[in-house]
Amino acid sequence: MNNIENSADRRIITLRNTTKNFGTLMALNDVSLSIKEGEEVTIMGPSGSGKTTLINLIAGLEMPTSGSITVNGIELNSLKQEGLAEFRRDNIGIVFQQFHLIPYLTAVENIMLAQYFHGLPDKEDAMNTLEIVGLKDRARHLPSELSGGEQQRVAIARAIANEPSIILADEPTGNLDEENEQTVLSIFRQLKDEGKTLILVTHNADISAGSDAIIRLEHGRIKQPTTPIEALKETG
Amino acid sequence: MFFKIVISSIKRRAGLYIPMLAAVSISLCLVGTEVIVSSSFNKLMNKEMLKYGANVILRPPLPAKIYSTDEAVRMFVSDNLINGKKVPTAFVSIPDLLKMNGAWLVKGSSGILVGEDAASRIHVHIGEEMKVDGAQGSVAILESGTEFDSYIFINKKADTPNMELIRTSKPERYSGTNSIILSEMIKTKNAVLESIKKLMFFVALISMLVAAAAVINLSRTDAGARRKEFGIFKSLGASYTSIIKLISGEFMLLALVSLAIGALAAELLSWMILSSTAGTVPQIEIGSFLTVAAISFAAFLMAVLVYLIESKRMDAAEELRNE
Repeated sequence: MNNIENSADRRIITLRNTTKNFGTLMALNDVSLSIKEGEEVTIMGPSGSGKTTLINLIAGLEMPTSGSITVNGIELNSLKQEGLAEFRRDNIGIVFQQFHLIPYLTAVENIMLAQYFHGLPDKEDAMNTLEIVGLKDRARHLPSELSGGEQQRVAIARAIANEPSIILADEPTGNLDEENEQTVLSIFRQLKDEGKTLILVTHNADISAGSDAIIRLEHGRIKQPTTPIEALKETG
Repeated sequence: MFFKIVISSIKRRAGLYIPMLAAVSISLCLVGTEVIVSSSFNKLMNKEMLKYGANVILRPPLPAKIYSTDEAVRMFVSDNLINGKKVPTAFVSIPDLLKMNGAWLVKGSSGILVGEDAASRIHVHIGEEMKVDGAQGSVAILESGTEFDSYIFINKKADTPNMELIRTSKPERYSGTNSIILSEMIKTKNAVLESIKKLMFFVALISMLVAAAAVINLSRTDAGARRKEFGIFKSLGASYTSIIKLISGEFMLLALVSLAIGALAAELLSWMILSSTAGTVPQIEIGSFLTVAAISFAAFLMAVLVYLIESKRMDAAEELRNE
């Protein structure tokens, strides 16, 4: 496959025959896919279908049992732990369902933490990032002093603090009410408009409505490529 | 940002770190006290010993000079036949002679001082009238523990001295002479100090073991609880090295705080012990401080190792999976 193509067609993520086993459990089974730069892709499927494993493999948090993964031109299989850390720092922003903010750091410090690992903590930049998610006035609050929606917005701000080209979000609205869900989704849409590649794991068909492609996983395999409209019909 | 993260993390774990800090500080206090007190006792006793000095007898020919820090008494010594026994007899200023060694014991007072061995050989006793070499007086007995116990001293300045007694703390300066060192006193001092040291070391060792066990156990508990935090760091692109740097920062800061508390407490406890037992105050010694510092950093290095193992074992993806 050619990774260096016209920027509009450039495949930023490519998995070739990727399998991931956990002992005897096959979490992903011979998955091949490619995602173009700037695309918004939704990964759907029942619990245990391998969605989170797929995200973790793309993030370099896990290594495939077989097959290869190329992200932004980087062959992840060839990297050691330090190389993978550097890859994440430069390319990936991750948002989790449980937010995973550091509880003893304030909102702005959580963002600066990501900058710190990247080598350039900058309070002003961190404040600007908080402003993007509409939480500048909550900068000095600890996560325990923020609502679930606010925590997730801080987590998104932290994920984009180092301006990664790829945002991975694992059930980002799973713990949010409808109002906060819409706020978070509008932030993701804004990121997409800025040219970020978004990969969202979700059970929620509404979220997938605006995406460019849907990957349906079942028992660790891609069931079929689906369009957002088909997905909406299936879930009613 | 590094210090912000480190300090915030320490504050967050105050409930865990305070007992750890207390255990290490108490241990450091005891070890520090052991080092300071035994070292102070040693110095004190050495100083006391110097008052007595080590004595060197110079045989003729007399030296042209003695070292300026030393003191000398000159005497004329010849053998006398007393009660059928040959006894070395010295003409010397007895007050000057007795100043040479504060450890010498004199029983009675007189112009004739008889060493206890000599008194036994010629059968004279304390307070008896004695006449020797033209001098007369009642007998006082000298117990020096040296070869002077076989001498008789007559309190008369020597006109033509043929021997010199030098008080010096460094007998090696006068090589080839017959030096009489207070070896028994030194042995006793060393034995007493050794006993004190052993006792205090034993107490310090137990406290160190307790502190080490506390540090390791508390670290293991906390390291397990912090796996998720390390997972978050990794997901943000933290390398293994940068996580260890943060943990090391926390524990180096704790080591510094415990060092300050432990060293201060050791100085205070040493001051209490020394002022109440020896009437002296401890000196701040770089050696003691370095010993305590080394133990403090070693204790917390153990904790860093626990975290190092835990973060190496940790699977970030597993820790961050949705619950």
